[in-house]
Amino acid sequence: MSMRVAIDVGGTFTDVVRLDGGVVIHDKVPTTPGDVTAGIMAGLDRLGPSAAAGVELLVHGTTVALNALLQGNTPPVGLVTTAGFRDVLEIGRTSRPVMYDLQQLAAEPLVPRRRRYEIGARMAADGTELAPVDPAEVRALAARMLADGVKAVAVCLLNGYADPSHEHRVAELIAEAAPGVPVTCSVDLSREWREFERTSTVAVNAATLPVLGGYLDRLEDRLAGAGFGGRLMIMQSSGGVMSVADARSRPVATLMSGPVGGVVGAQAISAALGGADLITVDIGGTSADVAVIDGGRPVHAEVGRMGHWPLLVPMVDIRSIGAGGGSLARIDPHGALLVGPESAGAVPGPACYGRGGTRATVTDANVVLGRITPGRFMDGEMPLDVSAAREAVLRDVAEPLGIGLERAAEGIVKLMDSITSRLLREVLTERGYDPRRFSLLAFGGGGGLHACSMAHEAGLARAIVPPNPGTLSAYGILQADIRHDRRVMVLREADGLGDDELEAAFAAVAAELGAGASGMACVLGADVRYVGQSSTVPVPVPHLGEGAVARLVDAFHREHLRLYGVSREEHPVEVIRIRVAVVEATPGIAPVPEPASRGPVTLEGGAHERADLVPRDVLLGPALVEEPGATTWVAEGWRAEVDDHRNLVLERVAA
Amino acid sequence: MSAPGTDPITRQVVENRLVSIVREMSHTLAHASFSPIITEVKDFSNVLLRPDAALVAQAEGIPTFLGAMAPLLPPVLARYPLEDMRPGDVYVSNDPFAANGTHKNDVNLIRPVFDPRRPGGTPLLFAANKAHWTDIGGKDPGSWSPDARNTFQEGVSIPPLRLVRAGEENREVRELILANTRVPLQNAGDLSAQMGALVVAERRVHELLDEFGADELRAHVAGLIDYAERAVRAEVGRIPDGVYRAEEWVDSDGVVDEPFRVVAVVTIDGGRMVVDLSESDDQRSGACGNATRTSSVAAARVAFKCLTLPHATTNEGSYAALTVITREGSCTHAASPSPVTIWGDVGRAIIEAVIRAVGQADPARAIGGLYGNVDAMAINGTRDGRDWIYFAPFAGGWGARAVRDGLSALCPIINGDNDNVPCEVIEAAFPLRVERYELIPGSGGAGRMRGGLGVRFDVRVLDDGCTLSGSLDRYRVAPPGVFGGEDGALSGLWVDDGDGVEQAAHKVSARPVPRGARISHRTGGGGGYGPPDQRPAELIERDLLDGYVPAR
Repeated sequence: MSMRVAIDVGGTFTDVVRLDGGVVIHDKVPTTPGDVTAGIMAGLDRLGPSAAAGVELLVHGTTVALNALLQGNTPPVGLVTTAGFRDVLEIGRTSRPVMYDLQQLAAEPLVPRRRRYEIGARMAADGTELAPVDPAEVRALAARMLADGVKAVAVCLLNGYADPSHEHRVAELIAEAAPGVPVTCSVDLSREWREFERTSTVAVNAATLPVLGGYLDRLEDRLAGAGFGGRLMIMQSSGGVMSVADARSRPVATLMSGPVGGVVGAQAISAALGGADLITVDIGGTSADVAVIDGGRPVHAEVGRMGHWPLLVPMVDIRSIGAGGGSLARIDPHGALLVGPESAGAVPGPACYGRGGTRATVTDANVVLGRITPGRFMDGEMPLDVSAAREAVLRDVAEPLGIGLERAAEGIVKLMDSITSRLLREVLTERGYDPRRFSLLAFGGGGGLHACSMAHEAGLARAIVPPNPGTLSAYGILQADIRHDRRVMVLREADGLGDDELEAAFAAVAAELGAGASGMACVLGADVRYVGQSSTVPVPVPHLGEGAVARLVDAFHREHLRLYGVSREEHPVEVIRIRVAVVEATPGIAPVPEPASRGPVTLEGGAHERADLVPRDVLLGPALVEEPGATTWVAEGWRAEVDDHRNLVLERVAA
Repeated sequence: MSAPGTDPITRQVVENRLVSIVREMSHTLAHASFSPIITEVKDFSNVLLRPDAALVAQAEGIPTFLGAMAPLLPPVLARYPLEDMRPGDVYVSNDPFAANGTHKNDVNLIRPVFDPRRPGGTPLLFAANKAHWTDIGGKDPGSWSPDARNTFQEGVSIPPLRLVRAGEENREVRELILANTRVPLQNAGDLSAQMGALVVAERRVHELLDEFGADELRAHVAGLIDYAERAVRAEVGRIPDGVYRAEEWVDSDGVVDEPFRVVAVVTIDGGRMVVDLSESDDQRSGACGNATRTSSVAAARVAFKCLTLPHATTNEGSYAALTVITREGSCTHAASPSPVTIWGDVGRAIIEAVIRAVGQADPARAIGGLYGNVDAMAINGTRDGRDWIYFAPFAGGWGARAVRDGLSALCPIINGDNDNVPCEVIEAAFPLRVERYELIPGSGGAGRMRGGLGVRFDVRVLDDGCTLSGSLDRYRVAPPGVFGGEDGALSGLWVDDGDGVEQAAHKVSARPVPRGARISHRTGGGGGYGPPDQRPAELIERDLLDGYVPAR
């Protein structure tokens, strides 16, 4: 029988989730640093003898490109720019988000100035050619780049978004003159204005292209050796998947392919709950990652970002904060408790791991409070040293503050929850969302431990902990759709934009993306704003034809009102971009028949196995629900009810 | 270890909630406003204050609003006593003198927040904000007049007034204010946006009160202020005691084109810092030449924060170790009715003078001279019957540090998290063509550590009937090097009207620029740090390879 398999390679574990005969099975093997393909093959081996041959679809979330970028392990890139603009990458947007630190580090440009080259070709904002591409100049430049040791080339020319022909011609000439050196054009990644953002996008793409390409070569070789003959797909930051060929040319689209899996999993949970509005938090060892599902869809960033590099590729907006199980707790010289952002990580790890870590962490605090059962951690594969945890919390927090051990541990957890909740509130309120409309979906190894208190602190309606919260990411990857996105500038006031013009603009983009093939759905939308605003509001465009522009404007006013509580019907409106997504849906996962409910049963507090709970069981806190790789803490004054999808729904009962 | 009655962990939970509240105020304000200066430049600030005018929490915004919010409350209370206030009241002001304002464009709103469980009580906290309105009247559009000679030319004056009484708005006050401005509709939008932010703050404070109660909340606030004070006193205590003096120059006051001086005498004494600005030159004729005392204190606070705990959360305690002395009638404490709109030039000089003085005490905290202030430029014209205006602040080079080169192409110290206007956006929106946007090699002052580089922005005018306005700083007195480092390059605004000759236009108002003219805006570089002959060889080599310093 054919199988669908998702593989998510994390720092410590490689999660393997498969759909086999309608049943979803979660598994994990250790990640093999150095060459992660070994861990992937080990995970596939556990499917059974020569099982790889029976895999029809293998979907992979990879952080290979991201890691290379963060560690600076990328080959020398040559950047070709318009004359007068070679410093755009280094000047950036000139802002200073860290406002008061006079000693702050400069953001090093991804391509140093010595490998940024200028050419004389120039185009106006409307695509008019002011100076043509000079083939001799570009050929000479290619030779110079080879001599300078350039291994990949990025091209970004001013106003290229208006007409890609100059960039394409330059790429052609370089490819001829320097065969074997990959060339990426900014306009093939983004057709949006803002030269710094497009330059940054293409520079990141060129820098990671050889790295991801080499990795995919190795992976494909190994898979072929194991008899795999199915389709291999790669996860994108947008929440969709793409072919290996697309991934090779657009590695920049894979950067958030790890954390985004959890958001796609959350989207599936939202759908099962009838489109519930969710704020998701994935709590791992070093960070908490937060995203929003609004009206059943993950909210995308208007401009994606990785470190200080803006990226004009579709990305689910995921915010991170340095607060996780490994976050260190300590007292500063003036008597304040601090938790994170420094982390003990996986090595040396929390004191209770017994791997050399001695300092108190959030995980140690949870162990002291009895919320992590020593014999059950990581499925029993990692014994925990309770006395080391107690000693660390006592020494690092309880004694300096002059309070008891339990209170110190509670304080660490409380502060961790406060820090994370501040991010949750921030992510919602900066978009104008009312927290009371959202439920918290908590997952990752630590999500369930902190769910009640985070939901409460952030003013959210309730918290939900899905089954298998430790592998939600791979579960999400398993059901992601194949998806190609493009955004193209329109820059027109709505008053004066014709319905036929709008339709023609959409048709051109859809044709470029190859829409029209069978099984492909086209999802249309536009980014709209009031004249004078800086950011745009994404508005769906369900139908074109007569009245389309008027309907778009009307939908924009309503969306603005919904998001920000105000709309101004009398104010002029402009259409900044249109967006097209071509989607080939992956068959959904049919719900598995659940064990029958035994009717509403209220169980005693204490520790429970998650596998033993069936729909409509109710637990009153304080109680623990344990399952492989994760624990949910039902706080005092809270109740947990198992819903029809085996989610634990946590709500406060006592005021 | 902690203030009586509060446990340090709950106190921090309360701090996180307070910070969430002021940030939510800022998001609410930014979303509801349609003014680019608010949405793009983030020229606004939101705070919670205690009735004794102590700052409780402040959202990130323009750095120079750091000290400018709490002083707004006492003039309101002088006129409307606490006992007279009711839930739903809102007070409005902008007067730089009578209301302790910053400049006329900055309109302030204050709303008392009561404990709903104690009807008839006095306010527990105040929610307040300040936002830069696009126009507030006065002699020029935008109310931005470098050559204004008095406060009346800078816009309508609003002393502290009650705009809303127990939820009932006094429409006459609103109409009188808006009738004195050029863009009343836009201003009305910003006014509602500001009011909306205050309503959000009140709702969130009430939620906090549900949880903690008024007495506990008060105790936690006191504990937070106390903690911030202890932390910053300890940090100031690391700076060697002594008296340190530094002076800085502003190139022109906007009316009289000559430089004038700002002097900071900084005394460090056992964890306290006194900044005495009274030796600064007398108040000046033009609007680039003066700051109110409130603004000068705010500037000194920016320097103080930069020099002590730049990452700490801000409340009143963060500045308890700082005393600022000014002399009325000086350029750092201008008397009514002096013009003060472009006080940021004096503000920049105060910040640098304080940094330079403390740098003598502790060279690790020092930094070479900065390229200038906002160095704003505007190009205006008319196309298809509509007026257009391109307006932008400009980034430049910052001073070198003890162990690092200065930062290149960074926005001015009085601003913060605001973006440039992309060249592609400029070309799509205006009849302008950008010919260069690049770092200026060699503009950073040489030194053991090199100053950051300035930026050259050349733009060609493609239409008839355009005019140029500009107000630069540091086109005359260069950003100084420190400890033997060399000065950074000067800033300058130059126009080639088509004859191949560049003419200076560093401070101009509505200068005609013909079609085909090239405007070249060049910001200066930061001052160097330490003797150039001590520069490590590998940094010299890198500078040459990357062309940050031209080959000789």
